Amino acid sequence: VTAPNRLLARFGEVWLKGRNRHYFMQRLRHNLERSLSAAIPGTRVRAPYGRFFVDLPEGAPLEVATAICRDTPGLTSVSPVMEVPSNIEAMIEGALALVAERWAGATGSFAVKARRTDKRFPLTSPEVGARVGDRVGELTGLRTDLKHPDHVVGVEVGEERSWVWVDTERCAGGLPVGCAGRVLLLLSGGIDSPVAGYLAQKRGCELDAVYFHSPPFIGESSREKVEALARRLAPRQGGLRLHVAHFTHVQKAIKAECEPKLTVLLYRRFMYRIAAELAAARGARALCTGENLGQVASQTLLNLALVDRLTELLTLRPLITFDKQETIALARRIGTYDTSILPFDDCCTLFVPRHPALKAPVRIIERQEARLDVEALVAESLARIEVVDV
Amino acid sequence: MDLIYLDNAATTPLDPDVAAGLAERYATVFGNPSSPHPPGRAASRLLEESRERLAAAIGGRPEELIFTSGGTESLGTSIIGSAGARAARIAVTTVEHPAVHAAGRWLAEHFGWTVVPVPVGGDGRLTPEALEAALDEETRIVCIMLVNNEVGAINDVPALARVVRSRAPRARLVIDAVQALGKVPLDVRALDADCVVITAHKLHGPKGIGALWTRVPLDPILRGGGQERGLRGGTPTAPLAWGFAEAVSRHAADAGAIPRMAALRDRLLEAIRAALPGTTLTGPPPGPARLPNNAHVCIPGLPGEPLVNALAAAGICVSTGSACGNHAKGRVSEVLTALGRHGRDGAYLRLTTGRFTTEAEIDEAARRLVKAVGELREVYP
Repeated sequence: VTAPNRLLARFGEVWLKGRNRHYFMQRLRHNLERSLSAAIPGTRVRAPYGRFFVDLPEGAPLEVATAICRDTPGLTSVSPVMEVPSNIEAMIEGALALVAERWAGATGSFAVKARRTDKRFPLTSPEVGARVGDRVGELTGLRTDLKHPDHVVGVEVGEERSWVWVDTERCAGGLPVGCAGRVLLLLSGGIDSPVAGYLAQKRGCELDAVYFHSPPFIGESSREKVEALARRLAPRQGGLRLHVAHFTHVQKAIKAECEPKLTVLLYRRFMYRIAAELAAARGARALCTGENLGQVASQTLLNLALVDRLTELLTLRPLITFDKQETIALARRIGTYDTSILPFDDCCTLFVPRHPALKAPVRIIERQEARLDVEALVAESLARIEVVDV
Repeated sequence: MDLIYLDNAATTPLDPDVAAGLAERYATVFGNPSSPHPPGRAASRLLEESRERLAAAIGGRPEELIFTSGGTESLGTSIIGSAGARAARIAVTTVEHPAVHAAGRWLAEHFGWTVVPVPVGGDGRLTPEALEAALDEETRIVCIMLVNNEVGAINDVPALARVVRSRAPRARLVIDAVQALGKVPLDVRALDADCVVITAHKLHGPKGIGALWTRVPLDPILRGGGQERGLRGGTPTAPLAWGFAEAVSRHAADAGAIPRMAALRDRLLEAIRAALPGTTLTGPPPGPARLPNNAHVCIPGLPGEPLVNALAAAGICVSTGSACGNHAKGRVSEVLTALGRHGRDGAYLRLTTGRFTTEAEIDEAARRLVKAVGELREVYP
C-alpha cells in the first residue's frame, strides 16, 4: 500500500453525553454510513476505540468520502489514513511514502504524534514517535518541534494493523442529525432559510420543510428551486420531506378584506399558523426559520413577537444575530448559495406592497384578521399540501 | 387549443416541412464537406447550394456569407474579428443584444478599447443626430440593430450608415439583423454595412445555425481547419445550412405572411386595450417603424413576472421585460431601462406572432390574458 485507503473520523461532543453516549455514537455511525454508502455503495463504518474507521471499496474516490465526513454533523475531524501491518518498519515506510507525496517543498517544523491502542506493542508511544520522526526528518530536512509543529504525522498502533496519516481536515462539529428530534423548517427560495436549516441539522435536528407556493403567479421554476435547496439539505439526514403549501387563496382573502399596507405582516401570521399545524401533525418539536434581527425593515423584535404568540411551539432562529455576509459565507460553504440566488421569486418577494407597514399593534392585526375566516383558510392550505420526498 | 405560442421573438417552432426535410438530410447527407469522396461531395453540394440560396435572399454573394452557430457567434466574430491589434473606440447602441455588449466589454477589458454607449429615443429607435454625437475619427466599430428584439423598433440603417461613413470613415458597421430576417426587407447592399448578422430559428428554421454576411476581412475567433473561408473552423453541418435556406425560402414564398402576422398583432393589441384600459404600447406605433409581428405592452399596476407565470399556467407563452416580479423594486430589462422605463410602470409583456399563429389563437390568448390579469389583481396588494 502506497497511498491512503481508509478514513479515520473523529468526534467530539458526543463524549460529553454521559449515559446517552452509546445512543449518540450509534446515531452518528448510522448517519455517517448512510451518507457514505449512498454516495459510494459498499462503504462500511466501524467504531472501535472511540473513533470511526471508514472502509471504502477498492478504487473508491477518497475525496468524495472525505467531503461527506466534513459535512456530517457530530464529526470533528477526518484524516485519510494508510493501513499498515503493526511493525515499526512498516509504519516508517508508510509515513515516508505519505510525506514524500504530501510535503513536497514544505518548510518549517514537524512532529510525529503516536498513540497505542495495543499496549502490548514492544515500543512505547514516544519511542514510536521518535523512530518515525528520525526518518521523516532525514527525508524532509524539517526540524522537529513537538509543541508547535507546522506539520504533523499521525500514527496509531493497533493489534495487527496500524494507521499512518499526514492530513487532518476539520469537520462540521455539532451533534448527530436526529438526536435532537424533528423540526419543521420554513423554507423559501432565499439565501437564509437553507442556512438556518443546516444549522439546525448541525445541532442534531432532523428537518421537515414547508414551502409556501402561490400558483399560478409563482412559476414552477421557483418551486423547482426550493426542491433543489431541499435536496441540498437532504443527504445529511438520508432524505427530507418537503411540504408544498398553497397560499394563493390566503393572499386573495387578505387582498379582499384587509389593509394593503399590513399585507406582509398578515402573510407571515398565516404562514406561522399553517406551519404550526403541520408541525403538530408531523411530530415536529419546533419550527425553524431564517429570520434575522433587522436584516430587512420588517424583521423587528415586535414583528417576531407578533408571530411568536400564535403558537405554543418553539421557533428556532439560528441566524437571528448573523450579519448578511456571515450567512452568505455559510451558504457558499454548504453549497446552497448558487441555487438561492437564481432569479425566481417566492410569494414573499413577489407580493409586497409598495409601502408596507413595518409595525402594527397586535390588536390592529387581530382586528384585520377578524374579517377573515382564519381557520378555514389555514385548513384549506393544510388540505391541499403536496408532499415531495427529496 | 391548449398551448398558444406568442413568443416568436424568442424563438419559433420549426416549420414541419423543414423538420421533415432536415430529418431526411440528417439521415442521408452525412459526409464532411471537405472530403473528396461521394458523401463528402454531396455534403459540399448541399452546403454551397444553401449558401447560394441564402446569399441571394439577402442581396449578397455566396462568397460573402459564412455559416456559424447562430447570432451570438456571428456578432462575436464581427466585433472581435474587427478589432485588430490597436485599441480604439467601439460605439454600441444601448439596446443591443447582450452578445454585442459582452463582446464590447471583452475588448475593453482585454485590449483597452473604449465602449461608447449610443442612446436611443424613447421608442427604441436611433436617430442620426444621436449617432453623430457619439462618433469620431477614432471610432473603429459601430454596432446597430436593424430591429430591436424587445420593442420591435426598426432603424433606418441606410441613413445611419451615411452618418457612420462621414463621421467615422474608418469604422466597421456591424448590423444585427436577427429579428429582421423574413419580416422586414433585408438587402445587405442597401444597408451599406460591413457585417450583417442573421439566424435561422427566428423564422421557423432550426436552432444551431446562423450566418454572417461580410465584405471586410475578419480575424476568426474559431480557428481550425480553414472552413468557411478560414473564418470559422469546424466541420459545417450541411443539413442545417439547408434548413436555414429552406426556412427563408418558405417564409418568403408565403406572400401573405407579413400582413397576416401584422393583422393578428393588431387584433391582439386592440382586444387587450379594449379590455384593459390604460394599457400602453412600448416602442414605435404599428407601421413602417415597427416589426410587424411585435406587440410590446405595459399593463399598469401589476408586476410582470407573476403575470407571465399565470399566462404560462394558462397555456399562453409570452415573455416579460420586467424580469423581476417585485415591481416595487423596479428592475426591468436593459432595453427597457435604456428606453427610460421602470418596473413601477406595470407589467411589460412582449407578444410576438408567427407564421403559424391563427386568429382563433389570438382571440383565445386575449381572453386568457384578460382573465389572468383579473386573477392577479385579486391577489396583488
